[in-house]
Amino acid sequence: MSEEEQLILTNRQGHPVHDNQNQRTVGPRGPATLENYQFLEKISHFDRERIPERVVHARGVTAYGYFESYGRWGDEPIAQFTRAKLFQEEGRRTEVAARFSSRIGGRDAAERARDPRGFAVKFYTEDGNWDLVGNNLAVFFSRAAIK
Amino acid sequence: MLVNLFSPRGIPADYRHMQGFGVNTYKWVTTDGHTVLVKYHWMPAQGVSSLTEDAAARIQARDLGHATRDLYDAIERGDHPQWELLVQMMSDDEHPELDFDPLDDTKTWPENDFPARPVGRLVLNRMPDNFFAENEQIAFGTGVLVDGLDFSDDKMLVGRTFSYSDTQRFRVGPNYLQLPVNTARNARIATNQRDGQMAFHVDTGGENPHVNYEPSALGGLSEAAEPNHDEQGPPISGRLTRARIPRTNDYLQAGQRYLLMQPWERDDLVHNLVGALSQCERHTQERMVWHLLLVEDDLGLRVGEGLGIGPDDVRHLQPLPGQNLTATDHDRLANIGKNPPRNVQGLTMTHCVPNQRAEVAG
Repeated sequence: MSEEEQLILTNRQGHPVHDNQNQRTVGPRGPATLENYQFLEKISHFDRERIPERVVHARGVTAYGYFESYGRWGDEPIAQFTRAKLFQEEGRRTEVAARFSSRIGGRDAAERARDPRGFAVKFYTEDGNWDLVGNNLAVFFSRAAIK
Repeated sequence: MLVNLFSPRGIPADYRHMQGFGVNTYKWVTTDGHTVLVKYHWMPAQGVSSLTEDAAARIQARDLGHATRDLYDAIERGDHPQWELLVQMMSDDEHPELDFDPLDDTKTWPENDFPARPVGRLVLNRMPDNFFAENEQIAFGTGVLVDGLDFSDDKMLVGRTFSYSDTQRFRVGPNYLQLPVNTARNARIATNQRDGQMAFHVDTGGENPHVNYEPSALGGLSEAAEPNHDEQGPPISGRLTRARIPRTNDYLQAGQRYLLMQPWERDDLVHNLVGALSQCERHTQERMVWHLLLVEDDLGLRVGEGLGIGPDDVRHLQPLPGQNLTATDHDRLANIGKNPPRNVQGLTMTHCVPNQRAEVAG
């Protein structure tokens, strides 16, 4: 690989980074300067890397795939029950993202906890997205949202 | 729910070996506006497998992320997990003949009366490239439905529908739907929404890019055609109130669920409830034994035995304030500790498929 083809480290303004190891200082032993944009950009972004984690279902994992329709509900044509396009034709595929999670623990909690698991599927259909957001235990604790 | 959670199903072996449920009741709508109530269930082709507390503790001793790793490894080796989507259906009305409310998300619909029939299958074959962008920022919501699918009046569903999207706006930001993982990538998006924190692009406009309102004679966006029916579903009437649904029937399905468990699941449930309740004060233990005796005498007697509490210790307890007991519940209370097992002949429930006990080396 020639020097021109090498992937050069830059900051988010597109400026090449010539030294990623040392802050700018007055003399090798400091004091440090504050006009060092490259350092400020790097540390300020680091300070903001985390966003609020989910109140519940923070610990989870996403995977992609597809949903393939049978075109029927059991043996009956599905059009007699719903007009949703993604279900209509046998073999029709819709892109999906699925996220599995545990509920109570934080983002890095142990995944073995006794806890309902989240089972959420996002279908990217031609009529827009469909999210089916449920769990692995078939029921909820509570029947009124205010609780 | 507690009977499920404290059974082995409260600790699935991993994400590939568990069922999934839409839980809430939704509707389907046909071209001519006919509606039915539906429930969704995901059935894993891999089978269902769960852990006891001891086996789970052995996993946790060496791995905090075993379920994520299991999914990564399976997909990396080409062993793509699959689930079949099953749908239960009933006519769109109140169903006064049932002993539960079809809009009550603490209940399941018995499969012998409402068969769960397959409509398609889900295959997972690719992991995200960036865990933050695609797993942390992916945002789901129960209000996100497409044409032909609709809400039911399930109160929890309505509450979830507000809360999920609201929390995404707080957590990810008001323009979270512009992120690649969340955008409706296979549909055409054209709104008149503009600006807000981190607006990444301006949604497609109409012929005139200067018009961000509707209607306009100057070439902005216009409304889609109406469906060919203008009303759907049964009429609803009632006065404003804050009230429980009348048919709470809190104990029947929990008792049926207990009796439909495999013996190892029942044993584990009793073991786990005794373990958890041992940490509680005596009055809490007594109340829980009372509840569990109402669920199914065998369960209440076994947990009570583990705690040193018998039916005579809880016979005096009154129902909780506001609690609706059925006539059957009152009969069972009068005979507490001596009721025969509930009759579950011919009853099948979607979440009662065989559950394999996952073994973990010590």
